[in-house]
Amino acid sequence: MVENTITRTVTVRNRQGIHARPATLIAQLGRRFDAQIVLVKDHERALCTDVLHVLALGLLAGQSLTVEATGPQAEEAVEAMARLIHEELPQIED
Amino acid sequence: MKFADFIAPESISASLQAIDKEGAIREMAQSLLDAGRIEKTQFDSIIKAILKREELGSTGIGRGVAVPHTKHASVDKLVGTVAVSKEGVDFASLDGETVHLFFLLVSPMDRPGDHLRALENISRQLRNDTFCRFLKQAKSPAEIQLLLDEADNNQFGS
Repeated sequence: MVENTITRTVTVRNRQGIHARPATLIAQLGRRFDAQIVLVKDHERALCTDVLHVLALGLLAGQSLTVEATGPQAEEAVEAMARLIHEELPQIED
Repeated sequence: MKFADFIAPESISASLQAIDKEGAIREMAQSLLDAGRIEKTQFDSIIKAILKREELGSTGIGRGVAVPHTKHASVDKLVGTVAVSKEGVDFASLDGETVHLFFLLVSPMDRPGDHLRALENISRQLRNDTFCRFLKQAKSPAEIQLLLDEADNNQFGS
C-alpha cells in the first residue's frame, strides 16, 4: 500500500512567532501520532519532533508554512498540527 | 542575528560548575552580572523570571542543549551568554537527556523579533554536529568565542 502525504498550509499568527515554547508544544504534539510530520518553510524542512530544527526555520508572525504528514495517522496529525499552529498558539502567552 | 550581536564575550564559560537547573541559571546570570550586562539590583528579578519561564516548560530542547531565557524591562537590547557543562545538568529536557550546552538570553520586553532571530541563529548553528561537538570539547572561553566567530563567518556551513 502506498502511503499518501497529507499537506496543509498554515499561517503563524502568534505575535512572537515560533520560539522555544511553541516549538516544544509542536514537538510534543507530533509525538502523539503514528505519522512523520514535517514543517516546511520555503525550501527548508524540519521534522516537527526536532525542536532545534523547528527553531532553525525562524518562523515569524504572519509567515506561512506547510505541514506535511505521512503515515497511518497522517490526516489526524495534519489537522491537529494545523489547529495548534493556527488556533491555539495565538492564545498561549510566553 | 549573529552571536556577536548578543553574546557577551566576557561572560562565556567553558566549565559550568552547577549541578542542577537553578544553579546553572544562577551561575550564567552571575556571569552576565560580572560582565556588566545586567544590573545588580535586577539580578534576583531576572533569575525569578527565568525560573518562572522554566515552569511553563523546560527550555531543554533536546540534543544536550538548553536555552533558558526571559524578557525583562531592565535591558534595552538582547543580551546572552554561552556556557558548557562537562558533567551535564539535568534540565528536565524534552528528550530526557542531560544538558551540556547552554545559551541564556535576556531580551527587552517588546522585541520578540530579536529574541526569535537569536534563537534561529543558535538553532541553525547547533544543527551542525561538528559545531556542537567542538563547543562541548572547548577548554576555554576563548575557544568558545573563536567557535562563535567561525559560526558567524559561516565556517560551519550551517
